[in-house]
Amino acid sequence: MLSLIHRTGDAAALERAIEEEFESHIGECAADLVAAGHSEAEALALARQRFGDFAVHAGACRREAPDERFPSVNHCLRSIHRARSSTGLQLLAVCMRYGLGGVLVLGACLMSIMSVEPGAGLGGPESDRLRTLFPIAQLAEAVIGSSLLWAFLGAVQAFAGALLITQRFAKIGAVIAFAILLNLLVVALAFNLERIGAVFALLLIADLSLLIWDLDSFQPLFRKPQRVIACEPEAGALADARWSWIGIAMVLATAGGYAMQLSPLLMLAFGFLIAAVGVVAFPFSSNSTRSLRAHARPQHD
Amino acid sequence: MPRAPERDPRPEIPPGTLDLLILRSISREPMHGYAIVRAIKEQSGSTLLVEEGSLYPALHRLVRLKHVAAEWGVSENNRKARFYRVTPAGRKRLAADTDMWKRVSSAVTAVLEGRGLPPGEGATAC
Repeated sequence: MLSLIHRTGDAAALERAIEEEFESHIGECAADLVAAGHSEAEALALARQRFGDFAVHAGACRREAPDERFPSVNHCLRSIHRARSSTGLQLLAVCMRYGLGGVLVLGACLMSIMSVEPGAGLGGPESDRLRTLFPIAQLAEAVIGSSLLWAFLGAVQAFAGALLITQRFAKIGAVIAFAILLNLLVVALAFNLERIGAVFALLLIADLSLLIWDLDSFQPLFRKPQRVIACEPEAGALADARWSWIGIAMVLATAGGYAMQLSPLLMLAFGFLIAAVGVVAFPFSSNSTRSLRAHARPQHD
Repeated sequence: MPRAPERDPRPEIPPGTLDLLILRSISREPMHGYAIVRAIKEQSGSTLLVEEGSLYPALHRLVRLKHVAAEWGVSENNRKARFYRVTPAGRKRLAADTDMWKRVSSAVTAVLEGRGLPPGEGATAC
């Protein structure tokens, strides 16, 4: 029955069950004391005294039963834990971090190219192209024209992308990327830019998937400490430091390409070539295969 | 006449062994919380006294881990009580923990008494 209460998450029923069980315990103890020669009133008082603080013990029981509240959240977190042990999904998460990070870094490079000339947004050739997107052209011109704001937006976007690509700091990268992409999506929707909006929506979905993948790490933000389900460290493919090194190599390659004023597409291709080599080489290296096999074994609670 | 210093006859239950004691107690027959306390006290010659503040959270934890199942019944005093029984997963854990406890306690005893254990009987150093 207790397990049923845990499953259904009926907090009130759990509360009642704990209370009934404690009263039963006190009753049993009092019966023993009566048999030992105490009067009923004495026995009950003594039993209650021996039992201790009812509320404190009940609180401790509630803490040991985290399913009592928000069972769907707990179920969701445990499902994510299970999914995280899948090697295929681990590799997918790594690739999504590279992909989303790459798009953000490339986007920042394009933004930078658009503001190479001071005041390029006000009367330059890029400005003419932007005007065709009327009415967003005015907003774009104003933002590009204020070179500091434009540079800041580009820098934050590149920073978020680089964090995602490094894998090691992908969680904070995904959080920053969420704010950026949501902002861009709202701007696109506000100005009826459906195609661009669809692209931002897809990127936002990808970013949300990465946030959900790491949801257990964000538990302290929305749960009381005693209700946090223990986080499992990244293991298997995700725990391999080589992904981080590949990511850093991608960031450096893109930065180098940008410094040499290469085409953004060439920078992107070079970065993804490094990632592709890593993705192909990783599963065939002996250490990785061993760690993946070890991680794929069933996990016991 | 000066009084001899009082010696606490009830040492604390070593950390991590409460689950083992509970699982062992209910492995023979299902028991309610008070009966578990009584059984541990009797079996240990009144040396070990499980406090209610530790017992019930431990029981809830064991239920959550599916090492123990619980259902309502009627006690020998005709009182409604929740009875706990060991599940197959709990029996596996009991066997593993009992084995571990025997190895650790014999190793600690060997160290305290200054006699060495034969190689391979205890855990390896590295």
